[in-house]
Amino acid sequence: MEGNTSMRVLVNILDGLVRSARSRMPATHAIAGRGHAMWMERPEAELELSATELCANGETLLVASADEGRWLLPAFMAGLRRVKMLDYATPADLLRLGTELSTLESTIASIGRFRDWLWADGAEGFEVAIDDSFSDDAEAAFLDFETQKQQLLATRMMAAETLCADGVGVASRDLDAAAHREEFEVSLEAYCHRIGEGTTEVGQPELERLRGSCNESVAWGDGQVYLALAYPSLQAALPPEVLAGRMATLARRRADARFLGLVATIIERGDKAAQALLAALHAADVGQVLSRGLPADDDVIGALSRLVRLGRNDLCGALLAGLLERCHSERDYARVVAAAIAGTGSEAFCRALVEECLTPDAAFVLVRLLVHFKAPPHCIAKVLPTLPTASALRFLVELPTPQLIQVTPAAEKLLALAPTDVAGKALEQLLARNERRLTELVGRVFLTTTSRSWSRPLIARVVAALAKDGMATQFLVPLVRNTDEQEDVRIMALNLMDGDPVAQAQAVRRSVRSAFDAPGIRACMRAKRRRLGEDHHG
Amino acid sequence: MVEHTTEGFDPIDEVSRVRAVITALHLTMKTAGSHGPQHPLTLQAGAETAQAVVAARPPLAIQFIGQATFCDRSLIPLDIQGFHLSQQLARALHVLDLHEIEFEPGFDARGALALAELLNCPTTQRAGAIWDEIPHLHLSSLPGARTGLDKVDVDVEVLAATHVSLAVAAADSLAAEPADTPWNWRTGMAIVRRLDRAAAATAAGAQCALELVPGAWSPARRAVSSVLHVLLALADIGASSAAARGAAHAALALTVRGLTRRDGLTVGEAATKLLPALLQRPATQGGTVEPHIIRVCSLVNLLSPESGEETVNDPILQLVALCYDLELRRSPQGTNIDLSFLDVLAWAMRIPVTYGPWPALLARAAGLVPPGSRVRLADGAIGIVLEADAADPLRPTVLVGGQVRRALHPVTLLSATTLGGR
Repeated sequence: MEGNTSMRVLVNILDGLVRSARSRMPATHAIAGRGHAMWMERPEAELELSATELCANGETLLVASADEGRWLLPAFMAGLRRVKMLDYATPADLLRLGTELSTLESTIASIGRFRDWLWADGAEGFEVAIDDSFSDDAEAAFLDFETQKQQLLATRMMAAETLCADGVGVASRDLDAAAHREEFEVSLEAYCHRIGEGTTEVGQPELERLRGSCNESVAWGDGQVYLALAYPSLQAALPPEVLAGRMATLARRRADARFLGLVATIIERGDKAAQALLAALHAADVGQVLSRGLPADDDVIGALSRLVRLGRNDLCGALLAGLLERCHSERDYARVVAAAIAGTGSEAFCRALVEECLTPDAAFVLVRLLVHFKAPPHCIAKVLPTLPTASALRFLVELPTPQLIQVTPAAEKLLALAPTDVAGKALEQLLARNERRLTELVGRVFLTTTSRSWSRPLIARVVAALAKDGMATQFLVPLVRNTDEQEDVRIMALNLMDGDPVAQAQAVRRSVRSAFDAPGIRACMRAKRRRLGEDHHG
Repeated sequence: MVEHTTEGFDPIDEVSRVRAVITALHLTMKTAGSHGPQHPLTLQAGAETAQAVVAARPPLAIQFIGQATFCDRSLIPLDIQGFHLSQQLARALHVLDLHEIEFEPGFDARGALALAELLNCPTTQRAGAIWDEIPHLHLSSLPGARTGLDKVDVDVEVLAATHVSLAVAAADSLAAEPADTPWNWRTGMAIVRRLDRAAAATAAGAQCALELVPGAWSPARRAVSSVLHVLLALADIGASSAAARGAAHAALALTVRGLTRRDGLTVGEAATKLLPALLQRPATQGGTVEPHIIRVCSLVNLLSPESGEETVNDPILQLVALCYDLELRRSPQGTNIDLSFLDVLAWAMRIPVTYGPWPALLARAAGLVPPGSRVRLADGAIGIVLEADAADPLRPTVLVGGQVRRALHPVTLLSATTLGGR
């Protein structure tokens, strides 16, 4: 859509929003959403107001009439001259502006109220330029400045005339009283001396630091939260969604340890208001915003550890997930997260996680860290399912045997559900470690899985390992006696049990079902029974 | 001054009547311009204008200031059509350097036609001959009015002094309210806006005006002083306007409610006492509270020991506390002496730890020898500092005996005790 045309559409939507808000139509929210989306597509768009026109880039887009743009004149009278949407504005911000414009009238009270609203930053999400209002113009016109000037001169003359070279006597009573007050111990000579020495100077770096501190004062950000939580009477006027929106804006500007500390304070309060605010913060994506902006420093590590110790909640879960995601591409953050895990312990860290928030990349980083820190198996088991199967199996086979054994249920499930080629590779690697417990794990997977999809070499390898490790009774007997199992597999298993006559005898025991077996397996069983009988008698 | 009776008076109806006057006068002007003064349409329009004026119950004065229209100095709400009509009348008047039409009882159709003819005059010379002959009508110019968007220059010192004076008057009204009444946010914002404009016009002029305002250093006057110094300090370091407004408004509310004529509460006590009054503000139409109001409440809450929050080193809190304490100490209990700003500033410079870097920064922003300070020149004359150069603060511009002089030699600073105060 051409630039000017889209601006015209935007202006029409804005005017429509105001009219809709005035009529309290149900579609007002939807119109605000559409207007917001459209304005976001043109972030540089700035609307300029005159008394009867709305312009952009010098082109008139809306002319006030009885039906359209009725709000322009009173808004202009209030001093509003330009409006620009900021990049963090939300549809709720546009709705708020439209609602305020819809109530505007060309009366002193109304334009005064709107002007105060603008001055008090009521137009959140927007950058507004405000000039003198009509009331200011009237004041300037109706004030008799000539008289004011004469009064000023007279005042100065009067003040000057009270001074004389001899000074003025001070009542002794006042001097006596003054002697007891520290304010009167002031030495202006000392002050003059300081001026002369230049010790009143403040360096530029200090000034810049101070400016930043003033603009980010605790009173503006954190203080609002403390206030809202401390005074329930304010909570109706400052609902969690609004407060969370302001905090999200703050987080975009100032994601740091102090902000994390603020979140921790909210969690620690634990009351209904705090919980509502936490939920709203999560809904406003503050966790993600923080994870993208936090610096990798020691203060953040400390603050993060404090948060982790407070346990699981959606906001922190999203924060941790975002940080882990960041570790994948920015190594510095691995240090931060690793330090947090080291400081709080793997268990506490895992408790604070929300698995649903973990992307595969984040889970990948996390499992590596958990393995590095020798995390309890249940922590690893918790995270493994969030990984893609191949990645999860890769971690599994790298785990030390004691840890792997303790995540056996998760491991068995993964191996059973994995594609054959992926699972096969993992099983081979496990068998290659020649550890009885791992062989036992493989055996359990073997029994629970439909091995029809497995390759013959793999099956042979597994069966041989089970036989070698003396697990014939546990795994191979059920295999041989399973009439649903493939014939050649049963025969292979039966042959490999030659070294374990006790198990083999169990496997070849006659049963009703075995009468209906395939001829090959029946013949093999008969041969084994004969051999066992000869061995027994021999 | 135009008198106007309010007996049996409906303000909404009055607005309608004034609108009718504007509409009728506009029509008469146009008709006279296009058809001539003797045309029947013009004569009829003139008669209708006179009727409209009578219905509006003269005497009444209509002012055309910039793009606004007032009746007896009250803004007339106009719709778009009314606005266009009034602007055409305004332009016609402004060509003649006129801004106000005052109708008296007895104004008639003949006067309306003459007025219409005058509005169609291209020059003041020709118009002058007409308007002297219009009975029951006065036309005047308002020196402070502006034409369109062009501003008429006003001496910046006068502007600053005017705003300071009006701010003190408004602060007086706040100080007169009982301590437990809800804080009047609109008045508070208006005061901060005024002082912002005063400081923007001339910081030195604003300070000087405040120091020299006749009368005692009432809590209201000290409140204005605290606001002014907060604004100056934060402007000097380039802090955001949102931060400056919030801090200034908090300082205003604390000093208005915390100070008495002599002495007052500590800043923590003042904050604790003030907070309930701040929180009584009703929500806006949308059910939320503007960020500025929350900032002020938040700041005051943090200054209160009851908040329990550790914020000792926050610079905004330090600055507000400093400016409050300076005004607290300006009128010490048990004496009849009011200190100058120089006196209290010098006191604060002795104890920088409590207030961080602010005493030095405030001295820098307000002037190392602040305007309004009393000094002794090398020849022994005593004067009032009007302005001091930051590079050479001990050779300021001084008012001595009604004359403005630049000190050629370093001056001696004088405290209020030397001068006996007021």
